[in-house]
Amino acid sequence: MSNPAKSAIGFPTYVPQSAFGANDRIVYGHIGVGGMGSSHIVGDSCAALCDVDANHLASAAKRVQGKPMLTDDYRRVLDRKDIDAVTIGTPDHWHAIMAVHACMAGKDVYSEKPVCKTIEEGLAMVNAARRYKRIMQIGAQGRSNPKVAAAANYLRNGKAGDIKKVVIWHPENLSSGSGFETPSNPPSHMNWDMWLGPIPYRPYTAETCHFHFRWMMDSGAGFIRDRGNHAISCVMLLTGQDAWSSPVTVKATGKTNPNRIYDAPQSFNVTWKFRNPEWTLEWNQPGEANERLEGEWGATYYGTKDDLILTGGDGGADTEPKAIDYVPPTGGFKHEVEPDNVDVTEKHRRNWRKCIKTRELPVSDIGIQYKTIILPIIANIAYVVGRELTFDPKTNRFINDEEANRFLSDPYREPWSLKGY
Amino acid sequence: MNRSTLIYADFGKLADQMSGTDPVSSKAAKHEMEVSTHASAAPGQGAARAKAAKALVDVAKSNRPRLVRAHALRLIGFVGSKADAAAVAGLTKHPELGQDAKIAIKRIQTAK
Repeated sequence: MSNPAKSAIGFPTYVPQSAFGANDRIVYGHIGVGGMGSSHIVGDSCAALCDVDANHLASAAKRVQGKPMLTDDYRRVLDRKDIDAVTIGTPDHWHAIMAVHACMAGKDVYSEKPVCKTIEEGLAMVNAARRYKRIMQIGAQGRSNPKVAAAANYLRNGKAGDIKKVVIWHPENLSSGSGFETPSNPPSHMNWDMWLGPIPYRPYTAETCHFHFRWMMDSGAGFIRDRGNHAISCVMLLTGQDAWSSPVTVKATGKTNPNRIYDAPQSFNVTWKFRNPEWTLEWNQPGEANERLEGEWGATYYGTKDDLILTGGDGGADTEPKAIDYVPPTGGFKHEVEPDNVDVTEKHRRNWRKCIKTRELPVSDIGIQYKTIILPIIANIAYVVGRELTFDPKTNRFINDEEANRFLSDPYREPWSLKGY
Repeated sequence: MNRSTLIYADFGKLADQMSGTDPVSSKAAKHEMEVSTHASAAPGQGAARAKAAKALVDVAKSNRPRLVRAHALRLIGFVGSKADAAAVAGLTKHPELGQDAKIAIKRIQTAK
């Protein structure tokens, strides 16, 4: 089995801005330039780099022409009037605050998945993008993947009939680290207070910081929200349910690893039951790959006439020959991806850049991705409270559960606020 | 773990276990406190919820380690009443727990 950690942070091909011509110049600020965030750097049109880890900054600066501003405070990037657009590649707990503030500052935004931590944050991101008329692309790049498009075309044109059930399989959360590393002073190159930002204080340990923040509920909440953003984004595209609007019931069970500090459940099983139309979505962590088309993670779509497998659903994906060979009928559904012969993540960024020019909604617009991220968020809440919940996407609240509704927002440490900075 | 049997868990005992030096035992106690708290807040569990909140306030105001008290404050935010918010208001000026207390109080105040 391949290493999930490695594939989660694969760095796509770097393409310079100059490929688009001088008249199309967009000036970027890049916020969060370690891990996946480093892949978004546009070396010949970057005015600022921001990261709370000075080592990340130094490494990123080597890839940029000229002398970009280097800072550990994203607000200084947003203050720059010469910057048109920002990429956000920080841990999850910063995405919403930075994206909302960027919209307020008049910047277009490419923010990494997962979209956000809470329902309140997702709504704030949608509202900010619309109110300030900003283009906000979420890095769920499966929607720019030709294999995902082929599967969508096959299913959306009814080749499998009505989809009644989708079963996602995924490996367990990683269990790396020593177990319970003794907290220490943060390294001198790290602004730990800024890394924490809005979330409650916790002492520094390497095993809860870079990359491994994913396994802590405050900063990552496990694969269900991390890869889950990719996987469920594909599910909603392939089933035509981006605009789902009826109450959904969610039940979740999981187990944490007692011998590791991580509090996100290492194994996790979720069932969502949708209405209008009635269908079921399952997340099995761990789950078994479908023997017809194996992959580290993926989903089987069960319809009334046929079923179909899609493995992966981020930069990498595969599906069955019947979908790859399928030609949508004239006038039928056809999911378009950027045609350029570049890797999937670069296609996704090009779609964002194109939309910055045209002011059209991008392929992975925040409005679509908010509806996607609701599902992992409410699954984690159902797991924590230990009971089945029903969420109404029209009111953006749980039905008849006062305590569960207290999870809809996470109050921030001062001075952080979605209202501005 | 049978959640229904955990509604009346002894939070003082769990807080002591959390305060110990064995991280595996500490984590187990932290998890049990969390499970018990949320079980007490299921719809229809009014008395258990109030009892849990009071026990959490006692832990938050105790002299136990910072992260134990912070955990109790976090849980108070989910199950506490306005009276519980008032009971921990004094902690908002605490040099280490002030932010945790403010977060708990804000969560209670904004609950609908």
